Amino acid sequence: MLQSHFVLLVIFSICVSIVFAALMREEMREQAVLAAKMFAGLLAAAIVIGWLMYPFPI
Amino acid sequence: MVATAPAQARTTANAYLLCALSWAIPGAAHLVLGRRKGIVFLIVLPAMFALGLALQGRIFPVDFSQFLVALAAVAETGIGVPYFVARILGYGAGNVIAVTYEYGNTFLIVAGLLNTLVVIDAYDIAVGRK
Repeated sequence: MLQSHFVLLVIFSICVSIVFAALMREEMREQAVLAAKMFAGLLAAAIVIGWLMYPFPI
Repeated sequence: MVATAPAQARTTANAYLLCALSWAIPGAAHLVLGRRKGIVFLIVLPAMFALGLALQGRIFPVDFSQFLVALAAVAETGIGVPYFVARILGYGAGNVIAVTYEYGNTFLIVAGLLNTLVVIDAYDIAVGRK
């Protein structure tokens, strides 16, 4: 499972989102909302950029 | 003004001590300052570093003849005590042919960089900016 790029991407995004949300907000609820938004943004950006790069050879 | 100067110096000294503590043990300074979010840093950042090691990432040597390697090494030292523990225990040799090698490096480097932000946040709290 830990060789899946997608799973690792998700784990990385979760960790980064949690830390940034804790740094940028003080209230628990605000932290949770910001972490969820950042996680969704990171994941969406990775998928979109991945598909945009798909036609190009390595 | 004369009476407040020593107090100011003491506050600044304490802030630097807290920064050192925050660097050594991620989130510790926040807990000392009464911020519960320190627990988040205490769990997440060392976990990211450990995951980076488990993914066969490399703990880079501080070698200034290779600029990018040196930058990566400096970033990784940002995690504090876990970095030195890993080095002492012989982890972080890195396996460049492993599928997860680059991910491992990313986790190691980003854990160190995020802890640097945590140190700056601890400083801001200590001097009363937050």
